[in-house]
Amino acid sequence: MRATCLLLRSLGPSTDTSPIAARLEAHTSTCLFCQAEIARYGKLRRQLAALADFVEEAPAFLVRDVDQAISHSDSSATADARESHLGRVVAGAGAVAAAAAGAAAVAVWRNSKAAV
Amino acid sequence: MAKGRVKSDDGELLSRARAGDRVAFSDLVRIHQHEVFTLAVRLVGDRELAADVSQEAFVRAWRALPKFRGDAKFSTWIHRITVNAAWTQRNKQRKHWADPIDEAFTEPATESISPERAAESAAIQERLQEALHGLSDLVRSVVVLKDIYGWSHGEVAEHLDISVAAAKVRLHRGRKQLRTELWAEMKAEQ
Repeated sequence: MRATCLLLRSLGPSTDTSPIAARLEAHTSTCLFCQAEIARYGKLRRQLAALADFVEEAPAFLVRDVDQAISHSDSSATADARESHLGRVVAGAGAVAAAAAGAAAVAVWRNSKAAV
Repeated sequence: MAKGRVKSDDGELLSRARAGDRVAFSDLVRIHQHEVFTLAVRLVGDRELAADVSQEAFVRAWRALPKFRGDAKFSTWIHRITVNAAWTQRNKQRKHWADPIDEAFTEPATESISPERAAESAAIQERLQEALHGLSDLVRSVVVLKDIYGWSHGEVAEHLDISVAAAKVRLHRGRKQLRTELWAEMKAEQ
């Protein structure tokens, strides 16, 4: 076995993106060992790709559980939005009350100043 | 293991689901549950955990549905969400998900027996699935996404939050380990 074969073997199928790809390609065009090695990896990759056609049966409860999780998530989001809205209303009312109190204070101050 | 199913047109269901129709979304879940679960099992290597990941993926999809522009197919989109959900699960349990990137791989002593010949049979696919489960989680995820689902190195790296170079290294190690393990099984049967 030549040194280049060992190098190719260590790089395996990743050699197509290696900077020494051209050199390896020239070597593999004449080396039967490397050609066999590449063919083996090619078959492995085809077998892996073939697994895409097979699916596992999902548990029977999955659809129901997803429905329940979404219901829970939606109701939590609605409650959060409601709390957030209530918070905004309270804050707004507080701001109006503060503004009114300020205006009243200014009016009292002006009246007292005018009286003097 | 069941053969892949023919899906009905997702377009109509998607439009209704995006408008907030929960029944339509449930139908989408029903249609895609098996492929999502299969991907989750392949990524996390455990059926119970895969059920949790699948559920999380569909809930995330429901929340993100208003933002789904339809540039990709729903199946492609839900696959990406599933990978992200699996990775979230992985990060939660990081201490259990070892990534023995420097682990030593046992090389076959000779090249006289070809595992690929046995791969012609359906049985080898079962073995391949088992061998996949023997890989570390990160290595398996890279092999699954690249070699089974045909993702690019860039997509794999992005979704697994690793560099492209790291994805390539793990892919090579994964393929090498699979090849070694299948070869070892063949040798034992001789």
